[in-house]
Amino acid sequence: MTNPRGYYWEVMYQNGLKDISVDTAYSDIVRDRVKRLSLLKDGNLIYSLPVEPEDNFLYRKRTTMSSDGTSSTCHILARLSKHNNKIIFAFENGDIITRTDFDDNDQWFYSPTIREEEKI
Amino acid sequence: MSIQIHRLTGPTWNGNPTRIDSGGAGTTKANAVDQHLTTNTSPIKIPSEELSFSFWVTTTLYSDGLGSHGVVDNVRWYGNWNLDSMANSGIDYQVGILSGLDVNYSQAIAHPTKESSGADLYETYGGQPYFSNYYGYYADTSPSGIIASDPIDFGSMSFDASSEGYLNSALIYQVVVSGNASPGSNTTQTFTWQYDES
Repeated sequence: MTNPRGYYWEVMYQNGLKDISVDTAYSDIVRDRVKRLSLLKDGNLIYSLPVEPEDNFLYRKRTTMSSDGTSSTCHILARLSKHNNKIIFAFENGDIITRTDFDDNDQWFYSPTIREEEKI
Repeated sequence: MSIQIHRLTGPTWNGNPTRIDSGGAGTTKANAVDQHLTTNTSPIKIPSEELSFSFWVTTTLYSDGLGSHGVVDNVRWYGNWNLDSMANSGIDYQVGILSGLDVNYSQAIAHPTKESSGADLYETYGGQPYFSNYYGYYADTSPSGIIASDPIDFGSMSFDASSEGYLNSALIYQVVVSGNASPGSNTTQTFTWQYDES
């Protein structure tokens, strides 16, 4: 089987089965059965985030696109917990930043719009 | 993938859009015509009194429906204009977020009396009923103003990126020129859209 090209998310369920963003909509993830959220590029693992049953999680692809032709992208993987958030900002230039909270005063680290199913 | 920046020109909002991001026709210039131009043609005339305006520039996000993500939200917009260097230059901007693009789009038109000037965006559009956020002339009065330092937040605005279509809001801006301005070309306006996909 050929690996998908480019960046994509993958969720692994408690039974070992997987879904990837190439063929599954984010809204169709069976959230209460997810035990791992990962980011891959061309089939290679970039980052993998374990998700405990009491946690929630989210994924976003955040892009800036300018009228002068420049653009930048980072992928946000977050494990949301009442006591132990872990938020990964994986930029496509290779930088990976780990944080415990979003920062609404920062150009990249501000909070996504949290959906009802993503709340703790 | 498939999210693009489009400049909307012409009589209808979906009549003559031009892609102006990296895959398209390049950085647009605000000037005295309702066209996407990258050159210094059709300049705005420095007024002997009061103000002149560029034709307003309407830009928004477009999805061709070919991306792998279904929803675009958390949309923001930045102007990368150097307001410090513009302070007291006689060059200002006014900016508004137009809500309900599909019904409220209005073509940029010439000023009814001034030569080589667009119409005043705010007055012609009808002001607040159409703009969910509006920022007046601020370059001279606020050299560290909101455009350079803070995003203009489209709030809860989102759209379905799994099918072809536009964000139903647009960012509209125009250059405002006073008699204090000096002849010549201004730095090309560069602006940035920022958004989340999932």
